[in-house]
Amino acid sequence: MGIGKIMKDAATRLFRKPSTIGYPLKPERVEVPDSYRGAIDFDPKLCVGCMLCVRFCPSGAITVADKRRIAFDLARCIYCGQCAEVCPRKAIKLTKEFELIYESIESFKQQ
Amino acid sequence: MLALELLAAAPLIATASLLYDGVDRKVRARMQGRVGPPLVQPFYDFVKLLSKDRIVPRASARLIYTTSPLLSSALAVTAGSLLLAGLAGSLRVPGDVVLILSLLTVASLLLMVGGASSGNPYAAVSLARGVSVLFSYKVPMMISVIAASAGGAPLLSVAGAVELQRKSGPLALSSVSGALALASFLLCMPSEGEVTPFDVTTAETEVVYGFMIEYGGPYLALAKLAKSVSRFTAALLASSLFLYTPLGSRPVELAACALGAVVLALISITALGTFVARVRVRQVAGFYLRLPMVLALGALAALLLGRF
Repeated sequence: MGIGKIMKDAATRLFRKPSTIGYPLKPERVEVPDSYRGAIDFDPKLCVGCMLCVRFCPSGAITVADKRRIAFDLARCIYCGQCAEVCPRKAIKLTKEFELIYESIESFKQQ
Repeated sequence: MLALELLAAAPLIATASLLYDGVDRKVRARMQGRVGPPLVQPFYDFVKLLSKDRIVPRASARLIYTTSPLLSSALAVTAGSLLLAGLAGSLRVPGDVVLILSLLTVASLLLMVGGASSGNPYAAVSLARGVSVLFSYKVPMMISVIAASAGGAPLLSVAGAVELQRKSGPLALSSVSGALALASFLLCMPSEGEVTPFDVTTAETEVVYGFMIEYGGPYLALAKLAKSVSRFTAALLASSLFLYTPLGSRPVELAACALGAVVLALISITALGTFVARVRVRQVAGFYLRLPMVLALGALAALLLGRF
């Protein structure tokens, strides 16, 4: 791109609506693509304890507690979606939720 | 009395400089199609950095490393305050323009030396680059300023240049010498502010912010303030020496001068930095020894030949 075209492009953008939004100050919702892999939604009622997710997780983020109870270590999770892919009962889903910050330890524990 | 005025001018120039930084970031963002940070973001950053811990690298020359940002920001703010005092007419000392530019030079140099004393090799490379850039652009910048302020009384002073322009209109519009000198000065301004395309000293993809690499917390806050004030003082100097417009009353003229500084900085620093990619060190030195130097010498020649 020549310098003239860059100057023209920058000058017109100056008066156009910006492509980004003032997140997180603006209340409007940020749209994410359908294939987005966000927060994990695990339904323990559907889980049959096959442990396929544990075997397939590349980062070792899924561990098994007593009685084949699944636990997710979100600090290790890379949101690749392998667990959701292999789960035969669709007990694991990756949602569109991308706000994974908790403002207090209490709110994190409740979650 | 002058000391009191300088003390009063210090927060004014610091606030105006940080505010211009906000405008710069906002306009740059809008030209790139982003929303950009709020106008007062540099103030938030400054306050936040001041509240952080002071960390000094073990390999650094502690005294130089810790005092440089403070001295540098103090010198830059002094330069800005002297300029404001000159604009207000309370400072009428021959040669204060040279003093202001010298203070800005020492402020830049001090910051580079302070950063290089951290022991980080990137900072040392940055110092070497910085010195060569500094000597490349300061010479045409100084010549253009001398060409602009040589006609006033007291000689080479802001007050003299202002008085002259109050009688005969903006220098850049009323004389060949003024127009050439302004063109040269505007080309030197991006280097004073260390912004693209001439930011080889602090280029993040090459020397990882150069001499600023180890600075953090209050030291970084002061270093950023020094850079910010230097940038705005240079723009205000250009506006007052070349484009001071007589409008009747002094406060209105000062406000117009500050507005002119913002417009000049937006053209020379913000817009240029958005349009053009970074150049190499050798290209910087080569560039300043050609176009800005020729323009500055042309301004001086026009002045000496009597076409003032």
